[in-house]
Amino acid sequence: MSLTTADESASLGELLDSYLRQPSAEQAQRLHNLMTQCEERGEERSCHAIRAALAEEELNQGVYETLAAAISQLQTPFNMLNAALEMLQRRSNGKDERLMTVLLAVRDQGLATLESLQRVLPERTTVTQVTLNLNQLVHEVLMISTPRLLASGIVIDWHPQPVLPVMQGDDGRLRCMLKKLLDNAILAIEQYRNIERTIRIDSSERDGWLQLVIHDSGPGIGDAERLRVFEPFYSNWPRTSHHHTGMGLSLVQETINQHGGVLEIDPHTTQGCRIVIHFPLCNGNHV
Amino acid sequence: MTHKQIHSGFNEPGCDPKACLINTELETLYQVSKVLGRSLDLHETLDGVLSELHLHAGMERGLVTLKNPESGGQNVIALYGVERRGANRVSYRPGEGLLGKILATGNPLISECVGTEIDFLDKLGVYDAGLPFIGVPIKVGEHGIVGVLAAQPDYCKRSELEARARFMEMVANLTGQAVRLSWQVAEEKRDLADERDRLRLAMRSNYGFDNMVGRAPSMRRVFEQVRQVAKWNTTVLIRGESGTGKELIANAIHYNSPRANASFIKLNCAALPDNLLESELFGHEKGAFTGAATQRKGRFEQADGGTIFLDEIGEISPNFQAKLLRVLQEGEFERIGSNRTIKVDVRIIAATNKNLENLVEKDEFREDLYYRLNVMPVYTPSLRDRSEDIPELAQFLIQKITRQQGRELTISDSAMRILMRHSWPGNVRELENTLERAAVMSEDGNIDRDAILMSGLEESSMGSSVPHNQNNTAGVDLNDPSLDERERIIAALEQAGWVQAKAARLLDMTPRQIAYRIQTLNITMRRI
Repeated sequence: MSLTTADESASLGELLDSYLRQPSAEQAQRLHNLMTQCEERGEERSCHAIRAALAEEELNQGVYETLAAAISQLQTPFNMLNAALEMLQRRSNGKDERLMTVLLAVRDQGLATLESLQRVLPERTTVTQVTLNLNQLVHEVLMISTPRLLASGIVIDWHPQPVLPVMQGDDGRLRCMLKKLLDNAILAIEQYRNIERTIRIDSSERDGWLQLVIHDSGPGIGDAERLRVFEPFYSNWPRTSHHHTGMGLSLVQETINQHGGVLEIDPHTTQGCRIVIHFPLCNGNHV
Repeated sequence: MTHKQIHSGFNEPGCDPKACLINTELETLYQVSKVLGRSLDLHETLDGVLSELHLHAGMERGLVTLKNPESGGQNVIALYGVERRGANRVSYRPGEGLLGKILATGNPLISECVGTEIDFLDKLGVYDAGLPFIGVPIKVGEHGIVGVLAAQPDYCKRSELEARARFMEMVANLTGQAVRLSWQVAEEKRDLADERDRLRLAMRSNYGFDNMVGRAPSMRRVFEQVRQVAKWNTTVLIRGESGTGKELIANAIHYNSPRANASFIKLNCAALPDNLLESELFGHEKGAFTGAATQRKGRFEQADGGTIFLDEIGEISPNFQAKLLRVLQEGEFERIGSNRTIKVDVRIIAATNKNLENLVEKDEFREDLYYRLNVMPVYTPSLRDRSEDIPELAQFLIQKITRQQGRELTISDSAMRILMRHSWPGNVRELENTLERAAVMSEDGNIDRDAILMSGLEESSMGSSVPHNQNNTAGVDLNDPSLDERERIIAALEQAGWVQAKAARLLDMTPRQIAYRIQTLNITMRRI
């Protein structure tokens, strides 16, 4: 049965009218059923809405950051060439003129390529600042990830601080960030094939900082990889499984920076991967 | 088992059994005391104590449990002859088993045959049910009973059990001190780590992008570069005149990178002579040179996992350049006086205000090092090239000085106009110093033209280098009601090129009137 919102509200209205005119137990039961249905469907719809918003946010941010990172990486060999050319130019005094011409042409070509890439770089989406509750965002992300968590048999151990102070930030980006971290944790557990399949999430407040801890029972991240995983285009997942661009944690770090926060992969954890995030509570204009 | 019996000396012929026991116990106490002084690691110490009990006193299958403050039960911390990992997982609920009973009552427990005890659970599966069992509480001054020390005597008469229990109590008391000490150390360590994390977070909030002011396109480009470069591990070379905020850029790179949680170590290479620089950066072993009384970790080791900022890189000697090149290429170095190669994971940010190309040409700077450093150059623009940022920068710095001096400070438009006209050879640092001095000069907290002039900024030296700023007072509306009298007269004088008669005409005054005002308002005239 698929009802549109208009249909639903119309039938709900009719039922309510007839109930008010002639109250009966049967009518009341039908009213109750319909309202429960509506409520469930409302939740489903908000899930869809969050999912759609997430996808859009991911695309917007992803395209810009990926392209910007690619340009930046191209810049490195170009810089080295430039430095070498500079020295060569100072020293050659008109010798090796043909070589110089070729190298200069290479440099100009490179410069033109970089410039044309810069031009196609979309406008960097501005970061909005709204008052938000981190617990609420975690809840929403968990809600839309429920089917996947159920399918993988992963238990979520969620310990929110009951009254968490609100923070300023971009809810879209933060949701996107949480989703990426959760997806990573799920993927890690799926590939590890351990008996224990849990993700523990804690939120708390201390000394003017919000702390969020995501601790999964996966294989964890080795010492050598702990910093490299944040580099753009670096992916540690086996190539066979999914298609990974390696931009995930790089985007997470970007969101953390935009909020003046700190993210750390706890080096002292012996089991699984424990990610600790801090966000400042009172900030002027971090974004 | 025979070698243990020989050690414990119970079956030695011709020896009074009582004297033998006392001898053995004394010897064991001596060994235990040696173990206790050896290490601060609790597990290592307890393993040592249990092994001495086993080898010298014939107290076998020794075990130490410690109270778990959360559950009120106890966890097995050490078990003789069993891998630490396995034993660690076993825990007892409050009052559970023989050990629970000892912890609850605080009294020693002596059993002639452990197998016959009702409370005996054999949870660990190591005990010989036919042998006696002795368990004593471990007490620590203010904490009370913190755990249990238990073992099985390998062989003894019933009459000796009491004496052996008393001996176990002695060992438990000694062990208690070791537990207390290690708890104290652990607590202090935890406090220090907490404090460190808190300070790091506080540092982080000082170095966000919000603490970097700049709307000029050249500055926006630098910010974008910093944002990108922070993502990788590449070496960064920051180039710019002195006072343009090279250190601030280095800080921003560190605190916006995944290394934000680790150390940011900075060192001014020009501040130290060559030999000191080497020991400062790479560290030294004890006795490596005269005065090296202790071993010392260098800055590179301190920065492991973090970032090191080497300011004034153009000042280092060729000899040291070679050493630095190796660290850049391999991430390896040795402490002075040591052969051991140390490998570190450090991001290097270097900065200079010198023209490195010229230095390379004159053979004062190694060419290979120059190429290595030039992977990601960031150029910080000088303040005169981004004079549109001066008002915002001045406001930002005044807020900073307000916080430092603890009083409200404002800046007048006439003062701002002077700032805009200056050529700032010392860049932002000069601006900050000027404002700081002017703030001190200003009595009421309003930094006006006079306060700036009194701070030593030469008005006559201004203007020539930035001609496009000269007429920036032309836009000031002299009839603006929000201007106070003094500001209005200064603006008119500026517009009139400091000719009083001309300014008087602009203000619709007579020359006498304006001269009187200048005198009463105590306006310093600019000499042309």
